[in-house]
Amino acid sequence: MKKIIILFLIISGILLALGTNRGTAQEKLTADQIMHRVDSRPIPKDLTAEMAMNLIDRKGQVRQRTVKTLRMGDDKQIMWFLLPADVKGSSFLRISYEDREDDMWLYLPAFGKVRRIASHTKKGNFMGTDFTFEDLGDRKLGDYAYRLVKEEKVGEKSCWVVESTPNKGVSTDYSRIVSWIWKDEYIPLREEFYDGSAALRKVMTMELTQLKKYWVPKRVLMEDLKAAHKTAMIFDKIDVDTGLSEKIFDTSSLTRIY
Amino acid sequence: MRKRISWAILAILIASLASRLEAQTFELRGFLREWLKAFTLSPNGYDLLESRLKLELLSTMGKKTAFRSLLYYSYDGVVKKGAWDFKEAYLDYYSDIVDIRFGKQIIAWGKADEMNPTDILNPQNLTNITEDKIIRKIGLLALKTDWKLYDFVLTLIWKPEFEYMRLPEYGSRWAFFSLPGLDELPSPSLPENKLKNTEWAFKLSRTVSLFDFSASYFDGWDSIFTPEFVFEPPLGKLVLKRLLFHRTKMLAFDFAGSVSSVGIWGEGAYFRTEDNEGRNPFIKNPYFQYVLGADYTFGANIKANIQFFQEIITKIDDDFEEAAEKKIISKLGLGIPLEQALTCRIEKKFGPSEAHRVEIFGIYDLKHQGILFQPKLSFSPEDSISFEIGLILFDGKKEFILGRFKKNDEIYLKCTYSF
Repeated sequence: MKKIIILFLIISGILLALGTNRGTAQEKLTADQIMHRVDSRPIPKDLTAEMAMNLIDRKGQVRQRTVKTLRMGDDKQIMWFLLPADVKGSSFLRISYEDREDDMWLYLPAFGKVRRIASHTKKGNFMGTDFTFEDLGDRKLGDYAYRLVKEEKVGEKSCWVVESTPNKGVSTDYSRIVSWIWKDEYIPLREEFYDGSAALRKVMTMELTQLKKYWVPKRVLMEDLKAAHKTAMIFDKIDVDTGLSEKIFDTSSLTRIY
Repeated sequence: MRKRISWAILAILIASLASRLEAQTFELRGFLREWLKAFTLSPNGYDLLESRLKLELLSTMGKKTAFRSLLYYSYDGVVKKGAWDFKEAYLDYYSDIVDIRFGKQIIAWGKADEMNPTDILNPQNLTNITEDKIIRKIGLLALKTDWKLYDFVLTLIWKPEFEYMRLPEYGSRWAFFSLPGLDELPSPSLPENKLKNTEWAFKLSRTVSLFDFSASYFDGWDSIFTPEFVFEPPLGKLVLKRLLFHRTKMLAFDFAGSVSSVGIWGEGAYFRTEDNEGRNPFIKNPYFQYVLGADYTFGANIKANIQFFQEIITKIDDDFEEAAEKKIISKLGLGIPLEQALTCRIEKKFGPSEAHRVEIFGIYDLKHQGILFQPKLSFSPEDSISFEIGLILFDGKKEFILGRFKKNDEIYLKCTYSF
């Protein structure tokens, strides 16, 4: 009898330990805790990929961009446009910080110079897509107040629905963002962006794929409901943890040929 | 000799890299552009019908090496004349410590919009000042290295080859100046082909908080010639003897960043000419040029920027000298004779994928009340196809540059296919 009780306790303990990190339905997490885990989830040290960006207008006409992108964690990203011919050679660099807004630069071959993207310009669209420069940046955890709205499924995946409201003094175009966070991996699968007048302006959905021990984006769709325009980012040739050098994330790299 | 050595080094580098057979990509791209211009006050039907072909060859050899060449062919259907313009051909090497670029290249410096006192490394072809600045620039053989030193980037440039500004034909519609009694200018006397006559420059850049800063130095030639006159007793007047180039040093500084929702930038350059005592009436005194600008995005995504430009000539002793100095066109920096000016640009992108654009650009000569006004509309129905229609309008007093070009008001249409 004693042995059975001990065995039961051991098995229960193991099951409890496994369940803790997954945030199962049995564990009640606050919105802050959920978003903290989203922010600190394991991500690749570096990532390289080629990305096709399909810009789809209300008539269904598609303009395609092909981009080579490199990332170091969540803090640094550099992109070079490969296609079409009239944007080839353009490039973009983002560097994020804990304590201040992101630095962003854009290189356009037509001007031959690297241009810093000023704060007000970050609300503008990136190269004609439905992503603003702000969308490409890193949202700071401490810039928002969070509220757990409900739990819901996206496809077969169970999610927490968390509302993020910017704190006073935070410069953003969005009055709030509602995110569907996949419980198993703490990754947003869907986000709704509300504009200054509290109207739903954009919806982002993400499909993932597993590479080594990470879940990485395979397809990201951003729909601008007001403009009736969509941008689909399709990732290809993804590789992670290849030992990228940090020094490549510098403005001098923007004029390199790829 | 200098040029031959430089080209030989480039050829050896290309050959040695190509022999490793790691070429991964070759790409040929470019555009075909038709440009129709009609002067609004001209009795001729149109002034320019130019077909321009741009050909750009890109090749990467492994992850660390790349090659690029760029050339244009333009054919003017009015004068029925064509010309090749070999702009760039260079080899790149990339590493964590240094990026190297060697060959014929165009180097762009400065943070301001269109008016860049510090952007002096490549002379320009000013025979058509309405052409895009990147096309006006003349490619030059140079060795450029970008060293990544902790939070700084140090750029070192050596230019063994000298080229000078191409000015509009003397007495032509776009000529900047005229000399009474002179029908044409002689060919300029070029600097001797010696190592001591090469040019060099460096720039140190760093990002601090939300600002980019850089400081730069240049030691080279003023790329616009200075006329040298001699007094001819039999004629009893000054006669143009020859056209010369003079050494100039530049010390410059620029910054760009944002304060609250406003983007701000500035560029300033001090040019120390050979006449640093202010004694030679035919060489420009040392002078200082600067630009300050700001931009803002209004509602409906309308972007606007405004800039102030000023030139200050030092060591002026009297009014006569001041008037004489302003007539000397020999000048790095902006190149065109402006003393104080405001510029403004307003732009809005619209349409699916923001493929279309409407823009207004203007320069106002504060000193002499001249104006350049340039509205344009760009339309891109498909990727790779674009149309641009615009006006270029001048006004002001005839004695000064913008007023002198009043008769050159024009309307134009550009059609471009990119491949």
